[in-house]
Amino acid sequence: MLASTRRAKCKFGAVLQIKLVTEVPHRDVWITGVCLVSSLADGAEEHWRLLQGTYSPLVTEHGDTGLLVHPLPPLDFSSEISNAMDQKRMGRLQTLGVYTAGRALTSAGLKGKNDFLSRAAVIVGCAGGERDIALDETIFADAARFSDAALLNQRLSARMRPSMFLSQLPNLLAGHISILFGVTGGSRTTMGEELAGVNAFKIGYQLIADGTYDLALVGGAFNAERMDLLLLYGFGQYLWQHAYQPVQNRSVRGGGYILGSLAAFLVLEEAKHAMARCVEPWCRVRGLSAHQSRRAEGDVARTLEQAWNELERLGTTGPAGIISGATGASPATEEEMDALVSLSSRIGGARIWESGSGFGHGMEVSFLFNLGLAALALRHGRSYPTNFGAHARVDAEMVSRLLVTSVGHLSGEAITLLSTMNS
Amino acid sequence: MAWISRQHSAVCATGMGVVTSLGLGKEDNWAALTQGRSGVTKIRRFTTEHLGTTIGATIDFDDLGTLPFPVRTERLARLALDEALAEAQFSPKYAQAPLFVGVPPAEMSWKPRLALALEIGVGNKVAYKDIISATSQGAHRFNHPIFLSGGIAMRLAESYGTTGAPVTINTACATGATVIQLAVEAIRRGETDAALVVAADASIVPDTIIRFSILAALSASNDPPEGAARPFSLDRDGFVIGEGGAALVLENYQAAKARGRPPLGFVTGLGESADSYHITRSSPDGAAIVAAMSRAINDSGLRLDEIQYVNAHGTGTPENDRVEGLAFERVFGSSARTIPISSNKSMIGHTMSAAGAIEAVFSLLTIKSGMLPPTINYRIPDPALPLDVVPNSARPANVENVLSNSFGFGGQNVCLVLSRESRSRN
Repeated sequence: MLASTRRAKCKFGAVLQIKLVTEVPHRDVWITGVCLVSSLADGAEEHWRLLQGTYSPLVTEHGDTGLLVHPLPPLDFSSEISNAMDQKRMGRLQTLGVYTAGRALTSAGLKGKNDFLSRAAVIVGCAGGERDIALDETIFADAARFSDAALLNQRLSARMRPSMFLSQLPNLLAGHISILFGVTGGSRTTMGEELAGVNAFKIGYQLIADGTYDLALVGGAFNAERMDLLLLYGFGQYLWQHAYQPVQNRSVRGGGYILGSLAAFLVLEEAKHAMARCVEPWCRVRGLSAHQSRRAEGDVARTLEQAWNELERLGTTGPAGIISGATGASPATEEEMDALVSLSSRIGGARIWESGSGFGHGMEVSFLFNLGLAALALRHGRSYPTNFGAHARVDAEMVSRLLVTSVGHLSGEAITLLSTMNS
Repeated sequence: MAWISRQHSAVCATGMGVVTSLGLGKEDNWAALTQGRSGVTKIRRFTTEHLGTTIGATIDFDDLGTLPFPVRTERLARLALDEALAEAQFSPKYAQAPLFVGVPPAEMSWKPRLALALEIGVGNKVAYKDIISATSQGAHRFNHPIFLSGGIAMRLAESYGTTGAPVTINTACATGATVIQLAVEAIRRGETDAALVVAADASIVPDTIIRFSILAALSASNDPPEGAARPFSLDRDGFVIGEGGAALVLENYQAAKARGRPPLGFVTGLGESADSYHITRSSPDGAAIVAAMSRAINDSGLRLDEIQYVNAHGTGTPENDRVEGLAFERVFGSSARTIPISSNKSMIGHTMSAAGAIEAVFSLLTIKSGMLPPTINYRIPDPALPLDVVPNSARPANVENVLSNSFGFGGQNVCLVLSRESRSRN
């Protein structure tokens, strides 16, 4: 809030004190719609139902790489994208994202409501879409010959599909959402691995809190079943290269994440706007704090503590829980878990869940997915009865606040605080 | 008595940096731009045999042409940031402001990808599984941070000492404008007094040329190279890819004043829209573009007749220029024939993720210098676009307010109003 005071003469010569206040409103932001898609389930309530019991995380080897991924089960996307040609052109990542976005809009009662959607923003956290692996491998198979750059130019020009490039552009997921569902107020796409999801949410939240928008569709999609991503994350030795182990058991063998195909879309809405629409909200967004520490020893803990210090000032109360996006990568995961144990004792012994064991690491989407899981729990007023991916059953408890954390495998630390409607 | 008024805080630029195929720094770029010089040349850094387009506005000084494109992109970002921070008198190590970065998605292009296959295969056939297996043992660790899409922002945030978590954006050709928009929003809402914005793109590699060629988006008028980018001309045939980077230090005007830094100009209006017509084409009636332009002008609080110049998106594709011209006329009416509208892309090419930021810097320089940069290569006017494109030569003009357009592939449209002064009293 900036205030300046000026003295001015009015026409009768008396001096008026004019106070000019630039007060940026901070409006209440609610989550009014969620769709989650993962290796476990299709849909938010489906996740809730299946997470009431124990389950075994679904993992398979991708191709014959020897590397595990959490794959998506077969899904029928036609309820949102009726044209099969569109699905083919979009590629898997964009198809998955568009499908999830459409269902999130339905869950918020917004599907087809053009008067609302034309004034809504869409903010997507996304990297690029799939490569043509088959084409790549024909070139690898003849690598020496294709060292002749002219020949490679010729091969690529002849064989690259026009639509492939479009399916690779990060911002085209948002583009398809605008076209198919009429979300046309504004569109932004964030990149940057785990911070992409953090920043997509942060931007959506701030645009509503400050009065720029009343509605924002925030989300992303991640396709883990890709050779090109296994290559990229393999360089850094971040992939878990052994038989399945939950996240907390991986540090003894150097740590690592198992990529998981995920999609999550949330509808963020200004409180009065939601009330006027008579839509049942899922939870309140209370605040977010995002940082990038230098990752010197102790930095992750210090930064999470700093983030909680900021959020603590909001003065929220009630039984709390923590949903961690711990990836399994070392040392980030160990540092995060230690920090969360300390944090937990600051908020009444909050229980800690981590979703990476159950769903894998979905890079740009994981934070958004975990926000969706949090919103789901708060809607039901109870925590999850099981630690995702672990096999030991833990009883559900009442919970009115959930902290969702993101500690990126290489950089970025964030916490978002969500609460039930009545807290 | 008290009168409460809600107004945006005035946001000004206190530092700017730019690098394009025309040169390094504002001075060299502005001189070249106002002389109508083109940075488009025959591509020499790789063979263009079998490519339909053999030209681009590349940046090759030092060893830039040999670097992987994400590394090259980062170099341009740093050059632009260094110039902007020096001008604003911000420390290049402890900038202590949030960072907004616009860059292309990182990717290992074919040259390094094939080199890996050769290295691993050693004469034998290899598939992805072999390369993955061989390169995940540690020896290729250095590749990881280079080919992360958030890698550039991560490293810039570390070296420049920025605050919070850096934001990396890609909205295709609107990226450079989106990052300015985000920074202005952050300052207006009081989240910060200052913000660093940088957008860079140096992705002229065969992969990029081929992808855009297959979409029939590129000019194939390879000879002479400098004549290929012909925005608004009747015979325009596509855009020419350019490389470049720009950075701005944006500040709350009161904070800049308190620091004793003079404003280089103000960002007074933001407007955006998302097209719902088609993935690569704007709605043919220009509706989404009209919306973005109108919203930016409304946001600035200016009247239509107070916009003295439009810095066009002006890619030189048949469709973009048609729709942009149509939207321009729908917004400005008959004044559309007389308000000058020129395209920097005629000289620096389409700098992709950097364009919106580079062209915002050039818009502010237009105001400051009182010179309108031209649209070069304008020899055959398009009778359907009877516009004053500032044809071929720069000319002096008193410009107080500029509308700068950026329309991204995928339908993301962002318009900015840049001004000499701000009406806001805050």
